[in-house]
Amino acid sequence: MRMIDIVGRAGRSLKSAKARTLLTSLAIAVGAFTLSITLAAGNGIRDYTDRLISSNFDPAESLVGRDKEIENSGAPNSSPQEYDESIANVSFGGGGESHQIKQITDSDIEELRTLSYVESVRPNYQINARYITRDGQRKYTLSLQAYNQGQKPDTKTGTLPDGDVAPGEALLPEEYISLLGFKNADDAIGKEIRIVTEEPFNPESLQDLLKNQAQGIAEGGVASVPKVEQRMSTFTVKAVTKKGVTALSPGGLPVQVSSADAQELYKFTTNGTAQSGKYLYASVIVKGGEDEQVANEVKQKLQDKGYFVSTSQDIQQTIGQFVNILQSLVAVFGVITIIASIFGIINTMYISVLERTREIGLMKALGMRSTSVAWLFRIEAAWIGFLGGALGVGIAITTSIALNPWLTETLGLGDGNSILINNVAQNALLILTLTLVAIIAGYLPARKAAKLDPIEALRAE
Amino acid sequence: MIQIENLSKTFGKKDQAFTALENVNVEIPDGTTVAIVGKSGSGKSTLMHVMSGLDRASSGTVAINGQDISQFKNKVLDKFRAEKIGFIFQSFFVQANESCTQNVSLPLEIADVSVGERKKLVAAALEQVELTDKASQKAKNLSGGQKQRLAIARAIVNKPEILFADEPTGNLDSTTGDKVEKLLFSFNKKLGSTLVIVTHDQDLADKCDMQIQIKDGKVVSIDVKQGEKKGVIT
Repeated sequence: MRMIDIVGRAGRSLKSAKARTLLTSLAIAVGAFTLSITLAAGNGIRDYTDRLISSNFDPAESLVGRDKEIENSGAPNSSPQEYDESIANVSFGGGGESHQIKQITDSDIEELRTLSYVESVRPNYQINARYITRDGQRKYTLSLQAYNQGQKPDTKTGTLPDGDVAPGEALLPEEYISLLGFKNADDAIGKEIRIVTEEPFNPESLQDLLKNQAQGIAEGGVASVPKVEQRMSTFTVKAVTKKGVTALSPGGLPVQVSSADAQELYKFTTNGTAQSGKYLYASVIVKGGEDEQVANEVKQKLQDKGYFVSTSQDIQQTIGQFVNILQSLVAVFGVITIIASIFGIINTMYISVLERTREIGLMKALGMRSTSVAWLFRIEAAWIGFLGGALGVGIAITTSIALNPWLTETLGLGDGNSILINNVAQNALLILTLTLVAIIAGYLPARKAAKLDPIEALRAE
Repeated sequence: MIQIENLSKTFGKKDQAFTALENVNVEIPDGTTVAIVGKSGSGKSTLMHVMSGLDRASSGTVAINGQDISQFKNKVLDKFRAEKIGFIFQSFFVQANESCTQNVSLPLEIADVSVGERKKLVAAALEQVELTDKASQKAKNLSGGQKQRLAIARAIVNKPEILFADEPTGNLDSTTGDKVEKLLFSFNKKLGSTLVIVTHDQDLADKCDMQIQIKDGKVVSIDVKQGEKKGVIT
């Protein structure tokens, strides 16, 4: 018997038991729906993180440091390390844990700058600025960073330079516009703002203090408070920045200044401390580092020099891994549902064989081969699997289309980003797999049908 | 020509063995109409099963056109039934949810007949049993007589050499039964195929060229109508 005739007969026999077929396929449809939605969410999240990373990291950028944590992000050192002057205590999270990071130093930065394959080096200046203000306005807190050319922020007004911003210029986040008394963003361009930083420790003022105290005690007076020197730097607003929809940092935007200014302020705020001339990491722009192979070659060279390196691909992979783990967790539920529905198929097919015992007897009497009889039931099971898969995928696609606008809005992803992305090939493969799984589920009932003795089967009541 | 020699059939093993047929010898020339007559449990159905290749003999030979079908492998036997044999059963065994056309095309599908050829043969068979107007109707909407005519169309559609009918009129009233009988005999004449009817209806048996009486698994008598085709007891 030809396969096409078997497929047709199997389909017709399913049609004659519509309710049973539909219910059995619904069980599979639940699993197919879960898997299809999981795949769609995985696609969406991966797509979103890709955009996130490409708008937050220059693909040619690598993070270079002296601590191996640079490479295995998220897994802090727990064991004690041998002391080194360059080690800093960094606290993470709310648990009050701190861990030790071996920092990269000015001499390392110098060495990196001399390397032929390095385009530019920008140490991570963590500047502890006191406040930002403007003549006749109040003082406000801020975070201050060096401008990162590879990570251009969205602008509200003003133009971003191709290279670094000029010394004395600053990029001001839009939140400060009204706080600092500007009429609007355009009003701020070209105006001056003042940022105040503080020297942490001043050996001269300590000496003054000691002197004063000695004097004061001798004179029976009150000791004076040591003076900490503050510095007020003036910047011209070059552009007003706003937070992009794919900005990675959860907090507000920093005020950004040129590398030279940032370096100067970092020196000033860390002067005399153990932190002076040391950084957690440096951003290195690799020549031709957009090419993953070049980036990895440079990574290898830097590692040979004792640095630890994380390329932008590495960072992407770390986030991708996280998405994969989440996705597998949900997928497990889908797979469990499908395993449960397999028993539904087996049961349905056994009932079908019992119901059609005489029909099987007749077909075998008319000379139908046992293998054809077996295929008749396997195909019937395959139809159920196909139907369930198509149904589940169909519902998943409909759900995606219906939910995407709402999800995008609720999660604040910004226009053009969808969290559920249905992939035709994935869904086709899913349906095909479920069809094959159903054929396997139909194995035992089909074997029972194939083994029926036609005489006995025809005699059955 | 169907030649049966020293045919025995036992069911079960050793202590529980039951002999359904014992030392049967029959010879049926081509184109003969044969009635196998006997009480229920006499072994007449078993004889039909063994003759048609549905069941295998325990010993002896069943030769059809000189070939011993009891020596056939399963695959060959299936092919033999699909191409050479037609079956009609007491309770019709038409597939209720399929149309008349689909019912009749089943043996052709099994025998791998091409789609174009199938259409022609099915239409011809339905015409012969006067069911052309019901071709696209589902079998469950037919009356008992129509169902048996449909079963006949299915049995003759691939022009079998031998037609086996197991109590073909057993479930029908006498009027429709007569019509079915006439159809069966007319095919025997038209196609020249051998017709083997298992029945305990003596009137039907009397219309056949040859009557084989069976009792307790043994052939009691073989009556051949005078001046016509002959059967031989050996």
